Amino acid sequence: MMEIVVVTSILLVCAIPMVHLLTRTGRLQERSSRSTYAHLIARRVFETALGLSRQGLQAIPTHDGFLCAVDNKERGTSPYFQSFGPSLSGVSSAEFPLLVKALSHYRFRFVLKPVTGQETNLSLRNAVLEIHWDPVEGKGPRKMVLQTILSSVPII
Amino acid sequence: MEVLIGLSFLAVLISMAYALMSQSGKTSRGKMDRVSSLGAARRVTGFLNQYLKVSSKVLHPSEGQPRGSSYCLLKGEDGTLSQLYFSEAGDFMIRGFSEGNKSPKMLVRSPNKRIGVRNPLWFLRPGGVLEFYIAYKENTGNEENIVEIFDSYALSR
Repeated sequence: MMEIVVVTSILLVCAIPMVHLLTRTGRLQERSSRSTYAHLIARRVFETALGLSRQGLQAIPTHDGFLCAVDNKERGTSPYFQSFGPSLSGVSSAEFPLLVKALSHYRFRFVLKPVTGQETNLSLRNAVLEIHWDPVEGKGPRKMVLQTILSSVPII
Repeated sequence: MEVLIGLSFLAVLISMAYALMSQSGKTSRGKMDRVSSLGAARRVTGFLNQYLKVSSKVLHPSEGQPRGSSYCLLKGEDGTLSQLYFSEAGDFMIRGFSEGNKSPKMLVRSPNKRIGVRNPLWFLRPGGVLEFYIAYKENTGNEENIVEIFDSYALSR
């Protein structure tokens, strides 16, 4: 009888780190997923801005306030996500049910600033994108700041 | 005592089998499918980015197709044509149209047989920005989407 109690106790003690490991893996996967969607948002904003820069830097939409990627009456929706998908009507739950859920954690702002030392050069701007997101269970990274130089003339 | 120990092991085995077949087991499989689908989708966007870098023009879709296309036709810098598309099995493929390079080549295999591709779409937006959208779905049961992903590429001037 004593042996069974000892073996059961050992099994239980061994099971604790296993359970902890499995739950932690789930959290890590979710954090990785949040980071992936943050990069996809960044790529969409930067690549669209790069495409529009051919028409002049004034054609690039910017917003100093933090706007959302999905419909949000309180904060507002970023112009970079107002025409999305085949219907060009934004990220809707009818067309993109999972994207609405995934992107609802994010808000971002996108501004064009003068390039240091080139303040008077209107054809050159530093594009700064700041993305904030809800961390998983209150932990992990929660923001990302990316920047690139945009020009209305091709940079070789 | 031996009978007791044997029964205990049997009970543990039955409970493990039940855990695998239960809702929580299915949830775990769903999570694994989600992770592998997300990985496959990221590899697809990586290949797409790589091929767009060495392309001089996107022939299909065009800006006149706002509803997008299920495939993308690229013209390489050397004049060769390449079609990027998804096969019925959900594999991401490329087919060349140059001499001696006509057979399709698989770039990214579908994560597994339980997972399929739903509605891959390419759009060419004003300003020369190619947008891509894809959803991986369950092949069995309710066919719900597992992962939805998008990407954008500004084409070279």
